[in-house]
Amino acid sequence: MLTASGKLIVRRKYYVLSIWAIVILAALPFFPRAGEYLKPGGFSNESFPSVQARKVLQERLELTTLTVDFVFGHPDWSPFDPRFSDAVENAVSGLPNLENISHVVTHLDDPKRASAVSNTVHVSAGLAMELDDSLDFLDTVIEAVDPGPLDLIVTGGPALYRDISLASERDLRRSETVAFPVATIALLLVFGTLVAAILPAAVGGGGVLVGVAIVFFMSQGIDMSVFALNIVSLLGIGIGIDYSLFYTSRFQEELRNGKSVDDAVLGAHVHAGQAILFSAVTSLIGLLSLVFFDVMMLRSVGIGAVAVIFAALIAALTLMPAILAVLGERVNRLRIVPNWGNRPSFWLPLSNWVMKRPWLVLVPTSAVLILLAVPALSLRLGTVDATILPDTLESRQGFDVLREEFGFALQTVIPVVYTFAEKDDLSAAADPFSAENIRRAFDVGREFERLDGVSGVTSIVNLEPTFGTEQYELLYTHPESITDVAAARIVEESVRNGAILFLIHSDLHPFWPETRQLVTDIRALIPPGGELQVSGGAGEITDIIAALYGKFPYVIAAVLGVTYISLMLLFRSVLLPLKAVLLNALSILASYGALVFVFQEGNFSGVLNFEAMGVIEATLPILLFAIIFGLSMDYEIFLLSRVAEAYERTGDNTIAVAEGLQRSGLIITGAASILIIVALSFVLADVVVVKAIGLGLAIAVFVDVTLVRALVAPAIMRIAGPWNWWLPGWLDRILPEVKRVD
Amino acid sequence: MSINRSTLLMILVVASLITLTACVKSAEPREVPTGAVPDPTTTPSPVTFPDDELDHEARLEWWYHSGHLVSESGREFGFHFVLFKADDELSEPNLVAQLGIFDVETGEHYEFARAEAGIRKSASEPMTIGIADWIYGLLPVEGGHYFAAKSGDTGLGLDLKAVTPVMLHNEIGWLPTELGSTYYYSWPRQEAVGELVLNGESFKVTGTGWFDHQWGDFFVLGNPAGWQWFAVQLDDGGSLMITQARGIDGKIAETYGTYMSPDGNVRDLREQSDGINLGVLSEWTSTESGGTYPSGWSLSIESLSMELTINPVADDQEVKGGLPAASTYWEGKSHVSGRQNGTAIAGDAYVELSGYADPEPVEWMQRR
Repeated sequence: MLTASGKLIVRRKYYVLSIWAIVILAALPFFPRAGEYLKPGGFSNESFPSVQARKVLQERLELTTLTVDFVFGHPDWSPFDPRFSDAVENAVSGLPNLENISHVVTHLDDPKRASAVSNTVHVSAGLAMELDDSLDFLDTVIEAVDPGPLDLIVTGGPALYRDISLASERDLRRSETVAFPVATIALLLVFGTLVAAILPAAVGGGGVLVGVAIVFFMSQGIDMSVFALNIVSLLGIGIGIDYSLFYTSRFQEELRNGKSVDDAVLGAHVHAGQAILFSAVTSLIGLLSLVFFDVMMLRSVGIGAVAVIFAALIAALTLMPAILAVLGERVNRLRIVPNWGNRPSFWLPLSNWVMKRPWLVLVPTSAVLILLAVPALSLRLGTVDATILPDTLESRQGFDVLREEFGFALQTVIPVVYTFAEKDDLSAAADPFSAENIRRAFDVGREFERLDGVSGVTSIVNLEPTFGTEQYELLYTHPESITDVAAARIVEESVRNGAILFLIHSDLHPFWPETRQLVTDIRALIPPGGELQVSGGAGEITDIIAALYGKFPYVIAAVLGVTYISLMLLFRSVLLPLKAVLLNALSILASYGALVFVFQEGNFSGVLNFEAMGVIEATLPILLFAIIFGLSMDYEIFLLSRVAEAYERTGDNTIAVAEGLQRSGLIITGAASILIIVALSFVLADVVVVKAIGLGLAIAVFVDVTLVRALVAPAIMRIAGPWNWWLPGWLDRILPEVKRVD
Repeated sequence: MSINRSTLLMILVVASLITLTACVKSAEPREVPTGAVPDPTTTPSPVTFPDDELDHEARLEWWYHSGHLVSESGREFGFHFVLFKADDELSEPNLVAQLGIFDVETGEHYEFARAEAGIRKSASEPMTIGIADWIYGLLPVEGGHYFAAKSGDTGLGLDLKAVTPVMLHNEIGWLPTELGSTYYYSWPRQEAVGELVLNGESFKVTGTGWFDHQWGDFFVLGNPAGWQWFAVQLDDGGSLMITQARGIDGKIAETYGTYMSPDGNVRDLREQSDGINLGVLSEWTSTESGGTYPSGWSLSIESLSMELTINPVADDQEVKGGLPAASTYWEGKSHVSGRQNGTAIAGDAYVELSGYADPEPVEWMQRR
């Protein structure tokens, strides 16, 4: 098939180029609009119990779950100085007139909203709308607030989400600005000539352009996360350049072997094309696995990645041969860097050195790999807060003020709704303050207090530790008569429509594993005559992690299994695919270890300019697994294809390994360097999680092409000897034939 | 990366607990449960000075001053200054301060308020509390306090020094209630010296103040519960505190008090054993809050052979609060006349009436 398609493209090269020109021109206007329909977040799911609980909170207790938060300050006036108070009242006086504002709360409503340590006040405006709609509404809210003589910082959900979107887009542009020129320089070092160097960048770029345009169209029909764009872009650049580089170098090799231009294109097409095809298949297997998660963010990365890899593959297999057929020998023009190919190869002596003492190399190298992976044992899954944003952004600054001066996000508060009657039940039995219901709620409150990790409970029946049910019954004989400020507020806001809200306080961090255990413990309680539903951040992350990691082991097993079988088909071997899969897994574990060491524990946080997360964002290991597995398998296939080619020709395992390593050495090093450069460009990102993806990927690829490829792989293949190529007869007979081209 | 959908949700839920609701009339009262008793394990500590003048870790605490002032030119004023501290243990305590000034000459009643989150104190001045631009603190003498509270062109700054021993109520300065317990003592006579500014006009003032300090993990209920409280300073040097408390059913729960004789002896007073009789002579209805308050009282205490008539110097001395969740009450300068042991006596009083204005009903009751 590759031979036929190669011949067709060579014959119709100008048609192919014309079609590509049209496709690229058509895709071009949509490239800058790629983020237009992408949604922020995308980690939650409507079916999660915590999301259901949030709806109950909204429907029964009418609690708005979305606010724009204003931090007002003044250098001299204290918060309750009448000048300050008047200025705040004036500033927000227009807000209640806006249609979607459900309430405005200032420090005059709740004195706790005045800072105890500075002249700062926290004002919230509740939004009666969904998060996605609020991003557009935010400007209207901000415009309605005139701070007058006060300083103002705007933060809260919509502002933080908008800044995350903006920061992600900025990260993307910055990465592209850095990655493309640096990658071109790397290509120049590999090829030596300007034309050959620009070619993969151009074809890879064309693939990304089309892939991102596909994402633009898909995002109009399918919910896709804004984070998908970064990852898709990273993958597109890396993989697109990889494929083109592999293709171009093979073309040059064919030319050097004295073939005509058309035959050289055909040679490259069938040899490099097959490796690229299989490499794309394994990448797609890894990334398609993301589609099986019930989390929009992962699913959209999977869908986007499939689009961009597909575009890169088609570009490499159609645009590249057409261009090379036109360029011919001119691909070697404009030499800038001396020809590496004329120099003595570093790879041959290295592989011979390794294969002379395979155990001596394998044992310590494996030990180093395991050592790199060891920190992964202390991996703590969680999620992160607004601190993933740089502190130069207004919304993050506001978040910091709220955290430092008002204790936001430092303590865990888990909202639990206890529903004991139907929403519209107005009977005496549904009276929340009846003796019976107070006694029931009291028992629920005591159960919460007894749970491990609970530092306090706020509810109508947890006001005073010395009170028993009798005191609460007395207190609620006339609930409207309570003059205690805190108690009166709790009574007003946390009891209605057959539901009572309990706020469970814990000194545990909201998004840490111990807190998830607490959520599980709360959910395990069975209240008398009612139901408990856990909402809030802790509830949501518990559900997210359950959704992700309930499936992850199966996804890992499926990806490894399918990849193993694909490689077995390609190489007709039992052992080689096993080696490939296991070594890949080791590279991934090493990158997990690095993630824990750097981002969880905070090492190098100064150099990399981030705040230690204390946990690893729950989606990261899965994303990295999918991306790295797909990418590092590329190199394995490029390498093994060359080894297999040599083995089929010579029948000598040692020679084949040495030759395979030598022939693929420069190309894999070049391709990996480019991918590492692209990945490292993400380390410049403002959003810490994007940074972490970049670094995790760079480390995994680095480990893969150095320790694994150059040392461990040849050592294992030398030790295995002829067993590398062993395939039981029965298996050989039942496996479909995939003709490897010679 | 799941940025902070979850964090925010948490913040938002907490923040949204603060929405205000509308008010309508109250619903039918429930039956009052029986058997509500204070926690028997609560054992009071002895009240000590000056430590207990400072703030405590308590759900509710207040420092209360009231008194009667006269300017150099003989113009008379009444005042009350109170600092409330509410602490639900989950965040910084709230401070709310209120100042009331009554100008006897014009009959005008002025009230102002300030609030503050948290208590700002320095190590060198363990009890100097700022409440926005107001200040309240202890003087370095036993039973000495000061405050400075000004709003615009009206305000009051006083130094107050006790001229009698301390008055511990209920003998040990501790009162158990059905909804918690409270420590409670008074300095029933403080010499007051300071400056009063009224609409920009300044007066050097002197006079006599009354000080109450209460703290504890207890709940105060409003209408129909509440109290009538009297701080009487007799011209013979005697001082009297009388409280009549109403329960949640609106009925009188108990009447008690403390008497300090001119020579400083303190005596605990109980309704039955001491024969306390408190009668209401007339009523006054506030046009602002709608609350109907007693206005004029007869008070007799058999064990003291005392019969008093107490009359407010003006009906409208209602305090609306002006700040978050401050309830509406009546705090008024009053005159006292009567007889003790057959001898005519007179004096001044400050009277506090709580639980007379209608509270705002909660959501469930509105719907019902």
